[in-house]
Amino acid sequence: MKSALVCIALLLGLALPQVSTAADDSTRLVQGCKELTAIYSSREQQRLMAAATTSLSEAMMAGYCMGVVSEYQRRSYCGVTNWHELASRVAELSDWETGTDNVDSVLGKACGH
Amino acid sequence: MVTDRSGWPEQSEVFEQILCVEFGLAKPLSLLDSLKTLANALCPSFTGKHDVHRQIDRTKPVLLELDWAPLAYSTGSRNRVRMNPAHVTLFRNAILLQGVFGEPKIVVEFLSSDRHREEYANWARQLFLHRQSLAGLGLLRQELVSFLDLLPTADLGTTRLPNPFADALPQMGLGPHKGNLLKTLAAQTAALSVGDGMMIHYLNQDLEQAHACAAQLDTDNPLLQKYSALILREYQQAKDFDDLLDSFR
Repeated sequence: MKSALVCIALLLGLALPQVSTAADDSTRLVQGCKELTAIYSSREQQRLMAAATTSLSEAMMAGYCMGVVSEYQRRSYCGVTNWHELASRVAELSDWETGTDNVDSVLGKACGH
Repeated sequence: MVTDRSGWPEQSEVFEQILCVEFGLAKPLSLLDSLKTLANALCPSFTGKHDVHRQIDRTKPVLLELDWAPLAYSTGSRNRVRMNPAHVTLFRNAILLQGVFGEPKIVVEFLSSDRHREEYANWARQLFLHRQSLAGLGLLRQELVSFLDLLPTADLGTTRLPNPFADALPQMGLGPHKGNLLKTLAAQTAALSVGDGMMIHYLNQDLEQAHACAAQLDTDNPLLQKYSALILREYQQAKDFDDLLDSFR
């Protein structure tokens, strides 16, 4: 189900790039950061477990979060300097907190601005 | 409408064509044949040079007494065969032993010497017990347990062994063991015991342990080779993923 949604989202993204809104990107960022923290907690729990519990699309989503978070830290000021810490904070943001924000303001909230 | 039916094949030929040639089963009559072979093995006999009818060969151990009387008014060599009623229980047990051990020769050895009997009983016990699924072999658990308990010491001339076979005797040539239950079991057990640990770890999702077993596995069994290759690959992928995750931190 989840992977089907990702596929549809990707297809829509390819066909209608101008329709993609800021809110969609931030939703995907939060989702990706959730996947990322899940993968690392599974890695910490047991050796070899991360591979067994992570699907391809989850890994891709997590990679997206990691890239966006690191890039934000590189070019903007953020009180949180560890990308892992910043990703967990993004993952903890609720839908209500992110609302219709774009990616930059979501990351700003996570940085504590 | 008149049809010429003289060219039709006999019903038994049709049966045999379908079952033996097309389905690859043993002959449908093989159970009766194998019982006759068994009875003859238990009762060695000969036909005298000038004699028409068959007699017991007393120079060999006789476990079962048969009697051959020529059919009245018959010119052929067919006999009416009778069995000593005192030996019917023994023969009944011999059928079950043949089902387990496969060959009449072993049944004769089993019944004629205590030393062989103990060996074979131990062999059967080791192979049958501690199996997860006897149902897959067409065996009944409760009956099999008492069968194995009685094997080493019971007086097989008087004690009726329980029948451990669920719905078909192995000598009917049906089922997964193609008539020889113990040999199939032995082959299965040998193949599995090598890969047992590996598969148990793998199925318990303990890839680390499964990999340790797979790395040492030395087998000709194609199924185990396949699983072992799969486990090695999965382990490598999982390890690579771990290493990648660690390298990012």
